[in-house]
Amino acid sequence: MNFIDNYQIIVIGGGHSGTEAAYASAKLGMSTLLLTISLDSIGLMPCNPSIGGPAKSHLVFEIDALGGLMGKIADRTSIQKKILNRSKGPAVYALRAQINRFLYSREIIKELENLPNLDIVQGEAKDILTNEKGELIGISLATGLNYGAKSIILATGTYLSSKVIIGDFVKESGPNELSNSKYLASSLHKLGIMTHPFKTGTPPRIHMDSLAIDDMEIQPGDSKDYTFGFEEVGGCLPQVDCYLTHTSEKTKKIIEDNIDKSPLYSGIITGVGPRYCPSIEDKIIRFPEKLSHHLFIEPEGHDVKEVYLQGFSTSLPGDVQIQMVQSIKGLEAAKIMKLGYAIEYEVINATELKLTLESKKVPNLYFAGQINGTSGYEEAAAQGLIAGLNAVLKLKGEEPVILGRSDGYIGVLIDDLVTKGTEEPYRMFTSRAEYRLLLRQSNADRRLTKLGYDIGLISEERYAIFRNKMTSIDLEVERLKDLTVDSTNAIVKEMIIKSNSSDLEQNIKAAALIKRPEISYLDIANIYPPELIISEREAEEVELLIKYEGYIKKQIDQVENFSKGEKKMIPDWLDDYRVIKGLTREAIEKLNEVKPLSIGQASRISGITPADIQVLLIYLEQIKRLETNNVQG
Amino acid sequence: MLKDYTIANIITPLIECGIGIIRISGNEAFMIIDKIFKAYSSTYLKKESHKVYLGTIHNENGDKLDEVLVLLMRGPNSFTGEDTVEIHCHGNPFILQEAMKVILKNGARKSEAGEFTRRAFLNGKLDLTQSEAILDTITANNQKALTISLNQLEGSLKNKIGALKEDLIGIIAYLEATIDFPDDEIEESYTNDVINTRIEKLLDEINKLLASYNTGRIIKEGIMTVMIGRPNVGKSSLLNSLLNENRAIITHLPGTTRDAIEEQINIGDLVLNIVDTAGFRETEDIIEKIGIKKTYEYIDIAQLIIFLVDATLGLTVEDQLMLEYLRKLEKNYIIVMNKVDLINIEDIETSDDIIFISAKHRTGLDNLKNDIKKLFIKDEIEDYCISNLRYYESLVKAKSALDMFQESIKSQIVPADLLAIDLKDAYIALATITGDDFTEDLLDNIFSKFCIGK
Ligand SMILES: Cc1cc2nc3c(=O)[nH]c(=O)nc-3n(C[C@H](O)[C@H](O)[C@H](O)COP(=O)(O)OP(=O)(O)OC[C@H]3O[C@@H](n4cnc5c(N)ncnc54)[C@H](O)[C@@H]3O)c2cc1C
Ligand SMILES: Nc1nc2c(ncn2[C@@H]2O[C@H](COP(=O)(O)OP(=O)(O)OP(=O)(O)O)[C@@H](O)[C@H]2O)c(=O)[nH]1
Ligand SMILES: [Mg+2]
Repeated sequence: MNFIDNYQIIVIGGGHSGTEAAYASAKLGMSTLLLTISLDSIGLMPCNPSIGGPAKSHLVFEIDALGGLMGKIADRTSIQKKILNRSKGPAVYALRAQINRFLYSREIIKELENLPNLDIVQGEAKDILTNEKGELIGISLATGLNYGAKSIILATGTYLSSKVIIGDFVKESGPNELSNSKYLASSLHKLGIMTHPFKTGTPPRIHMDSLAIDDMEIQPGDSKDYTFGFEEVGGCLPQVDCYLTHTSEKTKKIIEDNIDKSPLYSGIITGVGPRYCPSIEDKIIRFPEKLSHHLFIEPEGHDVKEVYLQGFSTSLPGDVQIQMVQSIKGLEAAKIMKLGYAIEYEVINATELKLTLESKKVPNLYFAGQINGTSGYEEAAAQGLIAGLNAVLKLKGEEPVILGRSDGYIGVLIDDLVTKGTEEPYRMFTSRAEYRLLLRQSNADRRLTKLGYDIGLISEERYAIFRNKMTSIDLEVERLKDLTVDSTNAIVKEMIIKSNSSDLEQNIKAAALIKRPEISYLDIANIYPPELIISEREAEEVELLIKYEGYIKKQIDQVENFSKGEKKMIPDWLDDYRVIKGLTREAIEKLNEVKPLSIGQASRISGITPADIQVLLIYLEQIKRLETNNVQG
Repeated sequence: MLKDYTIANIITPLIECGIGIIRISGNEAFMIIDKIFKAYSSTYLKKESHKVYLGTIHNENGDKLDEVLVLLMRGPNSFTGEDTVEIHCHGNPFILQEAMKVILKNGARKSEAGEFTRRAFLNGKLDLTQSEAILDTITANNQKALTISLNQLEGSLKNKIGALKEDLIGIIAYLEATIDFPDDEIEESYTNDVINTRIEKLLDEINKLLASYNTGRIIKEGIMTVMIGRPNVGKSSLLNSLLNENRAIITHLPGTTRDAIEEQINIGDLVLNIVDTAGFRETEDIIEKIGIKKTYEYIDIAQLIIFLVDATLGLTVEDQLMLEYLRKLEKNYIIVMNKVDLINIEDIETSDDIIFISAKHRTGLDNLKNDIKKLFIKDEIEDYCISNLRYYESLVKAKSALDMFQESIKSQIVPADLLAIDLKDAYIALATITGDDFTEDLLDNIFSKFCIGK
């Protein structure tokens, strides 16, 4: 085979997943090629111009804690920031940023262009190449060029054999009129990796000046300087507002009258769409008693007029879309710049993958992002990072990165995908995480930065700052546990009265006082200041660790129990469960498909009963004894 | 299931009169016995392994249940290889059940069939050949448990638990929807007050189910039934008629049955663990005397007493004394006149609470069975009842999680994400009864109830 060039790692796809993978790979010294159908699709946000929100923000914090790209670029290009769920508890505080999506892709491109080991090439991958032994050797492009590679990461997003659908108009295309990926799916099929269609959709984009924003409710940001990134300062671009408006009964009527023209109802669309982001026609049909639905106007940049109509995803015909949009309060004269559309694309079944995101069938071939059945920028980026790291670590002969369900949302995401698979586009929710009180965005660095440093994505300086931060939080918590508050002290008494708290009958430990709901960390720190200077975010974490100590402990206990199963590993050689007598046929099928790494993972496979697990445990013990007997004998 | 729970179970047959043994195995075995056992001697404090201690065990309220022997065995030197406690009680099945209940309340889980052996194997205490046998039991039990639980769940219990879960997940879905979809219009139909009232209602229902446990257990584990009567009234004959086989020796000689005989018979859904006793009368025969003493012991532990009277003789003085004795006991008893084939019915006074039968000719047996059913299956409970200790234990867990939740919500300061932890624990406890996937249930619920999405 004639290769133009040879790389250690080739990443196919310049979306949020592919860019994280390529960044990690090149940063860690691998010669890397990033291949994308169009250079203009690098870092593209084809749907909503925002990053973060509950659970998604947690993912971004984790990506940043490991040394990934998304958090810092989002900080640099944000045009509004908001903290969500402030009142709903420490586990679910979440940061959301509105993004200037044009700048976002520019900044991503800049980061990548300046990486020494990375080449970026425009072109469509056509075939995954293997040698006679079935080993991966490289790729060929639709234009005929071939590139050699030791490992390949596939991050084809919503482009694989994709179709854009508006009413009865159907076009073979990727998002934003970019070409789709025509050949790659059949190359996968040849390797024995099957695909099936999923679908998603996006709302129309409208010209800002055609909106009557005075008729809408203004939605300003509230935390400009709060950053995803550990090293970022935040807030450099001009900040903008979003707007809230509602559909009318007229909108409802228009949709009801035209529902037969919807590709969803006429049968043109066969792929499975996500229930959590239904089209507006879906909402109207499924919740007929709801006369009005709310919508947000989100600018796509501080210096552009294109705005995004969040909540109004549709694939009805263009003329109907215009009527619908103009029936919304404040949008009576709206000018649509881009129609909403649905997109259908091919995905693989992620149970074909290992927890490292490497294919079980084709060694050194990795899959990441939307192609694994997820949806969302953050989910894609998280997988891209992990696939990138594992491809590198394997080539270096080092231990893979596998995050557990109690290590982070990234762990939950990948374990869910690989162990259970998904029937609809998978999005992260905080409710998917069993140990969410331990997986706060505020402690993502504590959970993951050491790992990022050990792998080599976190710089020495950042690691030193990180360690100082951990030390000052820990010391401060210790200090408050030891510190005795003098109940006779006049300033203390005054503080107690001001906080509407009950009188102190005797001296009390500061930590115990902070546990009272009406008393804050600052109330105490003002009277008994710490020796070290504590930053605002450190103070938040200190307060939280003290106030919720009981609940945190409860979850740590749960994790301890959980980890026992995770630590009971299933040996690699066990790759056909038919050898185990006593398993049900269903169990054998499922176990053969997923090939779980641990007993814990096996127990999460749907359809595996506790009795199956017992059989498995006993079998493994039998084998262990036979082995030791043989060694002794 | 992978939790290294401490497990406990009664390891002797339930009906046996003599000694009943409960075994507790696992990390928390010693801690649990500490909570329920008062040793007579302070040497117990040393917790020496392989020593026996005499003392009393107590229920939650501190009431004494029984005087017992406790044997402590520290792992790995025990059958299972784990810390193990054996409690030797007097064989009364009710005391054993009560003791089990406190043990479970204190954190143990009821062992599955063969689990002690399984642990013994996994901890290296049994040899390889034994593992085959264990696998066989697991597979068999898996099948059996499946049919048993299906039968039970097909009925109204499944609906009942289903309704509780539905209610609970509705509340969780609301809390979670507000968390995961902060921008969406989640109708504020669940104020703290509303949630509180609904949880209270749930707790009521759970308490009712817990209370139904005794009835359920009776259905499943059987009613301790004792047949008494003067010699020769036909007790053994009645037992045989009910069993449809010749189990007991019948003769025309009074005093034939010396030792109590135990059998199981089914009456519809009910199981009677029926004991045929020696007839009571003044006697000089030493063996018969022992038999009669035993009869009184059986009466002590019986849940149902079938009192047989010979219709040809009517109520004798001895019968009347026995009847008085029974009335004072506050136990379920049924008076049965036997041998009606030998008399002319019209000659005697009938009464509603006396049943007339002929054991020999098998007449009147249906009336007897119906009366027994009436005594034990009360209409309102018949809808659903808990007969399985595992379900009972799951409900107790759900209850304590909901109690915690109520405490938290009353404090007004615990935020939604933490409140949800207790509700989820409760839900997961209920879901172990019906076996579902929490996250999937939750997401289904959120998406079907709330109009969510961008
Ligand atoms: C219309 C639409 C609606 C959406 N709606 C939602 C939503 O409602 N909610 C939500 O969370 N997310 C939504 N998204 C999804 C979000 O855009 C994606 O989840 C995310 O961008 C996926 O990232 P990715 O890296 O996996 O793939 P993408 O961002 O799709 O990137 C794929 C990359 O692969 C390249 N590529 C593909 N095939 C080849 C090939 N053969 N050779 C070379 N390069 C190739 C492409 O050029 C592109 O650079 C939507 C996306 C679209 C298009
Ligand atoms: N005619 C008639 N004879 C009966 C009936 N039931 C029992 N007998 C007879 O009564 C005699 C005693 O019956 P058993 O069943 O042995 O009586 P028991 O109460 O068990 O007697 P002990 O064990 O000696 O206490 C036997 O000869 C039976 O055949 C009945 O309904 N009708
Ligand atoms: Mg007899």
